[in-house]
Amino acid sequence: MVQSAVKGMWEPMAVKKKRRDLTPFFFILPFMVFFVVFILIPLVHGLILSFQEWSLLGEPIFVGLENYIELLSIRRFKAAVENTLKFAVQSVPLLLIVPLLLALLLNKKFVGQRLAQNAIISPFLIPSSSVLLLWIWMLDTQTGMINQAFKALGLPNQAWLSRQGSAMGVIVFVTLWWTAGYNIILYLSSLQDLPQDLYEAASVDGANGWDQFWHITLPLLRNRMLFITTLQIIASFKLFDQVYILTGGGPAGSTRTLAFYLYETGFRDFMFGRAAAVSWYMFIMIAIFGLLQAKLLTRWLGEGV
Amino acid sequence: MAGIRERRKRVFLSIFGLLLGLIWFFPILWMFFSSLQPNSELLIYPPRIIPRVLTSENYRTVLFSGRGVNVGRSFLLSVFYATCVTLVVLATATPAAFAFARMKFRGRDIIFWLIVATLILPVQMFIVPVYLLLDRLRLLNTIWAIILPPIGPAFGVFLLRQFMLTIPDELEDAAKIDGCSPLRFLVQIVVPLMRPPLVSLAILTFLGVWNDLLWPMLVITDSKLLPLQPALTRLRGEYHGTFEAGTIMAGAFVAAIPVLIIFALASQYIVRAISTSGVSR
Repeated sequence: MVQSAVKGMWEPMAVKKKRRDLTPFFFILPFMVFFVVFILIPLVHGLILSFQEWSLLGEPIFVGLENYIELLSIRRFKAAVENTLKFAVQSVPLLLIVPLLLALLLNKKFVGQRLAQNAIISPFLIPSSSVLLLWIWMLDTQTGMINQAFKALGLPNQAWLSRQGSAMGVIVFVTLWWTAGYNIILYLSSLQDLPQDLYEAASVDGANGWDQFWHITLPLLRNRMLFITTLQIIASFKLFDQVYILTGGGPAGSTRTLAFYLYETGFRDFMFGRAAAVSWYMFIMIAIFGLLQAKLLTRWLGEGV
Repeated sequence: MAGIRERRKRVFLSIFGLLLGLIWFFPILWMFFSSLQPNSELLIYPPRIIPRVLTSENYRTVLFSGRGVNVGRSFLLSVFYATCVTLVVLATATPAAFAFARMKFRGRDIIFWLIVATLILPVQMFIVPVYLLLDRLRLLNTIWAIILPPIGPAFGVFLLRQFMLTIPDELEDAAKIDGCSPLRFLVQIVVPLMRPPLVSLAILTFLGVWNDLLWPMLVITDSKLLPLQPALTRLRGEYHGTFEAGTIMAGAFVAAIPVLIIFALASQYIVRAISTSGVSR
């Protein structure tokens, strides 16, 4: 498909066939320099590093698969994998469904729709440090807005971020509030593309709103939902800012994610080889989950059609 | 009858939608209102949502004095970093996308798909090796450590190429017959046609640099070069112990306001960028 769409005009002329036309290379050269230096070389270097033992002192030593094997027996690493999965299991369904419901509401015409839409969408653009400092303030044990509201209702104050039972839940909640807007935009653009005549035909046939949603809207949104699930799974594996600012991985390591563990390993303990191995584990897990969820979700949603 | 029911439904939707919007947006309003109150006022129960005493003191502290953290300076630095990256990304991605979309050369498709394949790799895979690379080049703690690496990712090339494939061949033929060089065709005809995706790419790139926390935090330790996001986390370190929430919120709001303004002015570009590409965060 792509092949046929590409029709180059400026091919070397038949007459000058021997002299290679260098124009395309000049066009891609500036970008390729950056791509090679900051993507390709680091990618290869990262792979090599993952087979080496190296802290800033001394020379790197080749250790084969030792980093990978060692990691499997490190408790913190295993806990980090577990916490990352926990976050994914909690956040992916929420970020798939809540934005869908909000998009269905915002897809309706009503006075103030625009205002409501902007109010709900805009937080996702705000930088993480702003958003997270705001939530630290909102959730403050003594004077935070949420505990003040609890107090007004006669409920006890909660140390939201320093209790093992609630810290991860708070991170999920804040992430939902913060990033829902992004998925709402994705849903709204799909909803606006849905063929209206299908709904008209369904109404004529006496299908109510629920039937229409279940039998027309949902199946047509299938690809969008798959796409969002993939995005959210990748995002879960990258979870860092929330942990770094809200909890620092605590309490008792209960919110230490893979990305945060990588940061600690590489830039606090300066074990670059091990950190590189962590990043390759991340890649492997993302790849496996990506394939797995695509298969499962396709089958599951496939039945509805 | 149906008209009345329909109208009632609309009114209900309006009330529900606006109320939900208000609740959702409330934390951001609270960030703003907190920043306008003296720190002592914020410790009072019940909290005052509408400030009793208004003060600009928090903003003055954050922008001009700040204990070792100069948010005003970091703000300007962030504008500078984000603008530089955006300009270079546009300047490098546009001709590359053009070559991949409209020119024929050996290895084109292999190179292009190799580039696109790297888009699925998580950013964490590059942090350690790029850090070490910059260390070896003695670029850590310089502006280059922030400006250069974000130019490498292929997102811009991928996005622009998809749009450039849609330019009709007739336009190219006509240009060629008129003796127009590829470079002139790109600059005078393609770029004006590509304005929407170029604007989208510019906004996404700018926001990406503006919002980044981890990378600048790793490569910049000199507070004179520190961009806004890591500066804010330092600000928290300075003011959290004494719990000056108003001051921290003033810093947070300073970082949020440009983004909210960009959204207000260019929301359709942001929405289009996200819905056509779907890859940014």
